[in-house]
Amino acid sequence: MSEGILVSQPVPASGETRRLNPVVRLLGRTLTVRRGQIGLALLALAVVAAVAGPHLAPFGVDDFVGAPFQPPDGSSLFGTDNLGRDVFSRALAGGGGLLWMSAGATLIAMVFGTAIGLIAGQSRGRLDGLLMRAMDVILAFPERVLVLLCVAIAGAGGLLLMVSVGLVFMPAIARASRAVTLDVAHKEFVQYAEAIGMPRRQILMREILPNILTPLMVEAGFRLTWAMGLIAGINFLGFGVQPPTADWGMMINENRDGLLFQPWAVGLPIICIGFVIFGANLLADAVARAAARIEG
Amino acid sequence: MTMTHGASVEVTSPASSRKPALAKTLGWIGRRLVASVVVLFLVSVVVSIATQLLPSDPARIILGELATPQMLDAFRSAHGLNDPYIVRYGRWLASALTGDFGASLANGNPVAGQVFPALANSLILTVIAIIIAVPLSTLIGAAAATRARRASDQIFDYVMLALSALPEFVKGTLLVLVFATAVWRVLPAIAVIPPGASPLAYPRDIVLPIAVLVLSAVPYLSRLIRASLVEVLASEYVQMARLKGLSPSRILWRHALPNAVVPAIQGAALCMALMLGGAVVIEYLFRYPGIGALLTDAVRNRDLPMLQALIMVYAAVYMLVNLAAELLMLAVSPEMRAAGR
Repeated sequence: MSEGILVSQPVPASGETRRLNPVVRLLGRTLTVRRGQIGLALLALAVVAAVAGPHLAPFGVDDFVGAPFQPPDGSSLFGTDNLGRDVFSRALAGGGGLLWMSAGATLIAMVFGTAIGLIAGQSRGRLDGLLMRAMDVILAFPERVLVLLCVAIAGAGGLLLMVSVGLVFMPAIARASRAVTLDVAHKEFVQYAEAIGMPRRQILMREILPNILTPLMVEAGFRLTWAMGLIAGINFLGFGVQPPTADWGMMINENRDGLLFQPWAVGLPIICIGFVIFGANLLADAVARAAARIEG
Repeated sequence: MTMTHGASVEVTSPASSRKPALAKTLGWIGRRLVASVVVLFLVSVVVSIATQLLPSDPARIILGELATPQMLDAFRSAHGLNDPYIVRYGRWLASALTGDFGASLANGNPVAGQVFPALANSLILTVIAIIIAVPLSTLIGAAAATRARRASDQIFDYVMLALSALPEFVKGTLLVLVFATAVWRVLPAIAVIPPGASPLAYPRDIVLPIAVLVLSAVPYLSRLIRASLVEVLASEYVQMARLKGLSPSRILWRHALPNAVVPAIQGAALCMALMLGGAVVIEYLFRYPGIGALLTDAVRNRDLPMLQALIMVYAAVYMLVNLAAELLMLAVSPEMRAAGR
């Protein structure tokens, strides 16, 4: 095959002769770590529950099945909520939104943050300064405060929440990817590419990006965990998805008044959120360890 | 953020760096302060433009639904709401610089009179939480580091990962579940602190909010201390102390820990910055009269002047805390100055 005859490609600094896709290699390493396996299993369970849950649920999310705050009994496994809806059915349906919203927010942050960091790091000069000062303005607040400002301007809602969390996380990714870009930009293979007159866009995409993917994946793992916490928290405050949608964060807030007589209405969503975010954090930690092993 | 402090070596010779060191540091602080003021100014511009986009009409909110168009117009011209944007922004900035942020749309009272007492209340929570979290994290981190790679260290790691992953409102609700409602009823589920009173006069009411903040800071700080202590314990001077026959506890407390706590100092300051964000949810959960509760109310009511003031105060405090974190780092390791830029 023609691919066998390699046009002599600049060898990356790690000195590897065969270039394996860094993302594949990192994820492979991640899954050899015990906590990576546990984390992935928990997340996979949550995804399965989010997809299959609504079909397995004994009742619909909006069905009134009994009096408000009824303790668990034969008909409803975990009792009823503040309006008399089935807690178990709502908990099954309440995680899907959180999962895709945090994944979407992480994706937005990674794509735009990486692009800004790459461009800033490679151009240096005035554009670099301008982009990074813009990021400084976003970094001038606690993340949650900025998300709430977005909510105040554009109104509460799930999609908006996802976009604003993505934007709020973007500067940190931009900074991180700019830092690693600056590191890589000095290496011989980049200088070589510059010397042979490779267009800047191609240098960015073909030479620099593959070499900063590993640290970016580590960043993405932790951002996913934080996005989950942040989004669940905003939903808890009532500024995210709106009733009557079933959502774990919102369920916790709705059913707080019934803590004394029906703790399950709050306890079940707490358990769900706890395991999912713990799973994400385990996975992120495993990715970080795997990356440290590859780099070190 | 690097944890390999102590390993780096001063590159410049002592003779050339000794005299201008202080001047350099002061210059650095000065530049950072100027940069912070510039960013704050940009923030104020961005926020005021953003609040222009708010689909809320102050005249309508204050005068109510029954106001006639003539009344609305009269109100708008009396309060300068019809002026061009630049004029309104200039007016806002001029009075904000004198500490006057206008009146709240929700209750008509001056914004500043509500924001600053609330900020004080929030700072009380975070400062107490840090005072508890730092020694606690040091103990836990030291205990884990001396058992590195054993089963109990593994358990520590998993518990801390779980604690750091759980959002504040989940930890808070769990504590309410256990200590205030379903299991025991030993503490109040919400903080009932009358307006104007000091939270310190209601110690029982602030136990749970502070506990949540502590539980959020401890995983981060104790893992920081554990990591740096593991490194220090493997260093040559600790080996030397062992060979000299010093007792393990003396090595730990007198020789290793003082060096290992260095990264935690900056970590603690960063933690305070993180707590400011976390406090928003905690204050809502416990109905604690802090700046975070004000923020949630302002967002809910679309209370524009309040929102503008709160955002500025958040940005200013956040920057000061971050600056303090960098200064602390500078104070404990001068060679960081070059790396920190």
